[in-house]
Amino acid sequence: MKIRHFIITTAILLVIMVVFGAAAFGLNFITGPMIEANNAGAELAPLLAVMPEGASFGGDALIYSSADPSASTLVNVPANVLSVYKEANGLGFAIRCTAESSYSESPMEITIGIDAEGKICGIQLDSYSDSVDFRDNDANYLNSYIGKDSALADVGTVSGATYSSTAFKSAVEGAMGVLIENDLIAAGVKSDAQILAEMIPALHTGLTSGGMLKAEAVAASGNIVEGYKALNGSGYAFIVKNGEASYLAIVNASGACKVYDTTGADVTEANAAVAEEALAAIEAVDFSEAAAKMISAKFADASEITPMVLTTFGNVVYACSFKTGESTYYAFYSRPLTYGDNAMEICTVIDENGAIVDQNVKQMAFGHGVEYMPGIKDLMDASGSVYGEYLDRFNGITEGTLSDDVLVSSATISSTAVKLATSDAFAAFNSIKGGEQ
Amino acid sequence: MTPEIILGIILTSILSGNYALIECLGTGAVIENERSTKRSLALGAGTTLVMLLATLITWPINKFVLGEKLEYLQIIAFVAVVLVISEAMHLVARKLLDNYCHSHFVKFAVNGAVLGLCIHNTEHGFLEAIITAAAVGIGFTLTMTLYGKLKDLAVDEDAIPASFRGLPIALLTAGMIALALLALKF
Amino acid sequence: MKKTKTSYLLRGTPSILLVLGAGFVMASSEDLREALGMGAAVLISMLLSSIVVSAIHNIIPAYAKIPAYVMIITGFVTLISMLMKAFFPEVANMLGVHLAALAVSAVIYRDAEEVADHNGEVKSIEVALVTGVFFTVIMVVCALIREVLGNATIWGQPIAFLQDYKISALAGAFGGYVVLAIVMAVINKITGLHHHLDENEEKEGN
Repeated sequence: MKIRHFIITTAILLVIMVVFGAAAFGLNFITGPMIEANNAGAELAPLLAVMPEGASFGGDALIYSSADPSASTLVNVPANVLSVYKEANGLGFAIRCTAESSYSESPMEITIGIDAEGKICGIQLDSYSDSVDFRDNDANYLNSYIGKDSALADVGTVSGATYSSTAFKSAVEGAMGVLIENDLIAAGVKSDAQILAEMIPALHTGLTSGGMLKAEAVAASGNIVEGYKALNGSGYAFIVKNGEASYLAIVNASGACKVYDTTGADVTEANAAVAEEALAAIEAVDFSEAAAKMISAKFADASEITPMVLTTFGNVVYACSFKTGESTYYAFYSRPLTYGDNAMEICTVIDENGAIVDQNVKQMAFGHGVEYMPGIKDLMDASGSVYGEYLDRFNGITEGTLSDDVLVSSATISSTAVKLATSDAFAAFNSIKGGEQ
Repeated sequence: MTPEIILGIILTSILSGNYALIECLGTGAVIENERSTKRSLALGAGTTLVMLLATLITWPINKFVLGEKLEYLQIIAFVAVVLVISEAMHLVARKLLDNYCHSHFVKFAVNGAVLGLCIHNTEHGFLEAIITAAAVGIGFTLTMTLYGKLKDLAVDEDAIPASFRGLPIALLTAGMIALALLALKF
Repeated sequence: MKKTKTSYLLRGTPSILLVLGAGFVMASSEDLREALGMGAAVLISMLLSSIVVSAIHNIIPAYAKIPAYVMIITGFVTLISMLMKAFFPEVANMLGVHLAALAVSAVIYRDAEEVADHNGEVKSIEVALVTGVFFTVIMVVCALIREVLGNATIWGQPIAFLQDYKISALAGAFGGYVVLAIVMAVINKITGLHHHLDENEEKEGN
């Protein structure tokens, strides 16, 4: 090809380009605004999805954007809130925020619609890289937020809510907090029953896992307004009315009962009737055989197995003392929850001085889950029994020296549960020893 | 830009993000390739050069001339650039190139992989775009050469059901390679 | 190179063209809407560029034909992609870069070069229509299989009873190859047309 040909070819290309360029330029007067509107529409689609019919987010709807927080009049906005929109017709607000996910590296993206009265009118999960988080109950779980004000009564207190829902709930609370903080909506008022129910995780660790209540509902009767039965058999919690006031009664596996008022104060002595009513509603479960089996597995010559009454409220469901030779040991059998709300069986044996002499764990992980959890696989042999190496880490540990060293980084949930059970065992040991003196 | 990132771009472009097989850009050029290894390599090198030069020119054009206002002219501008580049290359090395591809080099060089690359590259930084261009070119060359070689291997035509001869078996072969490459995608 | 419509089809040209268009056929047959959108884009760009090429082929010097025709096709694809982004943003989004890549697709180019360059408008339009419809049908058939079986949706709407049985691989890149291969084999079987690559002819990919 000669240079002349190249130049002519280029010139022809230029002519064609100019012709079509001009046509495109003309067409752009029609399509340009439409494309722009489409793009804007795509951005607003999740917002419209969570708001009632007829909502519009035109003009100055965006009142906060994490890209440029200084341009907004809103203050004290948490980092996980991406943007806040104000609906143009006063129907409310839409907030986009993120929540950490325990199963995937990228956070979940959430869009929340809040009506003018401060109630959630729509909520959706826009993206999550791993559906494990909300695999089973996502629709039900998300729907449990609809119609709730910032108090978020009854959200995520039902069993079946997964581990990440703690992060999800706190993200929603944070997002609504922004509106309350900036006087855009009124804060929801928590009922006494809700305040009491939210105290359960702190007061009775056996009924919770990962900060969520892990219990099945018990039918209300008499003065009992709400009842929760721990999934792992570690006891009960009841919201009980006594006259005008409401109380929280917690019961452990040994049948010990404590009563708290809405301020969190222990009012057991003044409310014996409440405790009595709570104790009447429980069904005791006997764990003595299961515990004895685990003890005899390691201490074949254990004798004088004497059950002890638990006075603490945690994952320990059975405690006893026993003798081998001259020494007296204390065994604490606990059942913390791990994956899929399954209870592990843990037997912690502590000597008179408060140091662990033996730790035994059964059912570290369950069925199909194991292959996805390399950390747990490392802890177990082919038959699924936990390796001694891991359990040996506990030997000699006292309450003061129990640390995160016993956690396994790639089996966080299970090893956290074991650690929790161990500290519950120490608590139970201390209270029993304290009671003896 | 760490060595890890560069290595990542190169591996992705050649394997799991292979333009011809996974992204379906320039697939035709690969599955119809029946050239000898030498010819395939030469053509691939030519295409890689077009990709590099095109990125060198289209990236600044997109950034400084088109911007967001004239985005609708992107395709037409990019194709014009690619055409002029391949015409220029053709001008310089006409005999060599036409000989290698049996026909007109321009027809070969202006393909979906080149244009797709230029468009994808507008989302990257300049340096990253250049590295991607080189890596995609290498991936394209490799795929084309290997596929051409695969066709050379003695295959018993009779073993293939009659209706699967030709394009269907070519597609299935390419699909198998794509499946293997997809396994490297995380 | 005078060809009638039947001989054009019988010669197996669409199936040779399919080799060249395999890329966009597979890329845009994941979803029914996508397939129809791409089919429309192929049909319209082919039709318009055929008309223009057959109108001006006498004034373009032989050495400039290739780039000039590619450029004309690109121009039409640009306009089509603008319209599609405006009126069918969802489809344009799904097609993404493949809509642009249509500009340099050998399918349309070859149609312009082989047919429109040597024939009048009427003939060119006829061939463009036949080829365009052929591609649309292939893509729609592939998309039906891939969307329903691979994604358990149709026209983007979930099919409830298939949710637990979807073959996700069909929706991905691999599925594109397998489904197109099977569809082509079935067409070969039905029509008795066995596609043979013409040894003397060089084919370019898109």
